[in-house]
Amino acid sequence: MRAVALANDTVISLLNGYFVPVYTSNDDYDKTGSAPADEKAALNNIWTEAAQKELPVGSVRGYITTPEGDPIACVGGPAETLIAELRKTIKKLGTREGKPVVEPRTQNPRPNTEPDALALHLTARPDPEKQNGSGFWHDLVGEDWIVYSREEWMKFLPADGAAPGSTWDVDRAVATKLLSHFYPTVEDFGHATNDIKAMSMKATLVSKERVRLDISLKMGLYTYPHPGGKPTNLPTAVEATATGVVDFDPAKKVITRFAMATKSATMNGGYFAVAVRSVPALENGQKPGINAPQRK
Amino acid sequence: MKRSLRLSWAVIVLATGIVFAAEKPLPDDLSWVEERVQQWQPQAGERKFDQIGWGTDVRAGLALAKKHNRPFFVFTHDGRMARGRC
Repeated sequence: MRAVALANDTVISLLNGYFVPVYTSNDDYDKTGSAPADEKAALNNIWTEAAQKELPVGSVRGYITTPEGDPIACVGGPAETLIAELRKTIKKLGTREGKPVVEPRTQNPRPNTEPDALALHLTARPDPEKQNGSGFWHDLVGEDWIVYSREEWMKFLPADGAAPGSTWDVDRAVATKLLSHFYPTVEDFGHATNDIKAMSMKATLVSKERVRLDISLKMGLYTYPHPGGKPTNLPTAVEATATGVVDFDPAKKVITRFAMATKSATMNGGYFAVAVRSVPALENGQKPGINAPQRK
Repeated sequence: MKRSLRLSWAVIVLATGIVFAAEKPLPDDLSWVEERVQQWQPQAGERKFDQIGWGTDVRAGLALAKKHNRPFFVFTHDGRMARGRC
């Protein structure tokens, strides 16, 4: 729904003008999830009352309630269905249009980090030049943040006194922290459950201020249908090669720019692309906003 | 040259052309990395989800709904919709 119904201009206008909208992840609100108990109870009340009213409840649904929290509709599916239910509710309750109660803002901003941390923004999308519509969900672009401590990101830099031409293998834990995110959006349990079968991240000092990274990856993903338990020996789903560029100040020992892009990447036969870039912390006085540049 | 040998060379030349035509090699300099990073950033249309004024959680949302006399809408899902991983 995020890519279709919740990206529909009419849906956006109706939710902003007449409703108070919220979204929740079942990962946080199930028995082992991180949401506070009162939060879980509040959502569960809505679900329970909706079920008692024989509304079409489900785990991926939009629940509409009165201002007092009494469920009156439950909707999934295409934008047209959602629009119809939203309009029906507005008419039934006589709601007057107004400005959004909560100001719209980016839902995935750069996280707050230590001053010397390296924050990387990763975009995983269908390959614009080769996408074939198969292997994963092509409607969504995944965006992850990977934050490295100074101790970690130093592993991308050469040892003191290294001469151009020197090579080394980047620390496996540091490489895994990034490469486990190299997959396009699909219903899965997240990068922490991904099963890296084979991986290499070779660094080459190409000049006194630049490191080149050459990457290859084969990885299994824990995806729907979920077999249950902790997955082991998942079949290889992702195969990718990539190149990264790390520019740094050798005197100050700081990374000034990190960029990485896949050369080729497939998941279950579908072509995808990954771009990674460093994003500095906001300077004092800057307004938070969407930190990734957007193509027009 | 015998006909069979000419045919063999023709096949080799044709096959080589097909292999090189199939995928343009990337330049040796690394400028293509930054170009791809810029080209593959999310488009405005891929972040329309952010144009909705989302509340922070259910209890806060219900309180605002009551305060502003507006119906409440909560969308439940698996995964992380804010990151496009759902």
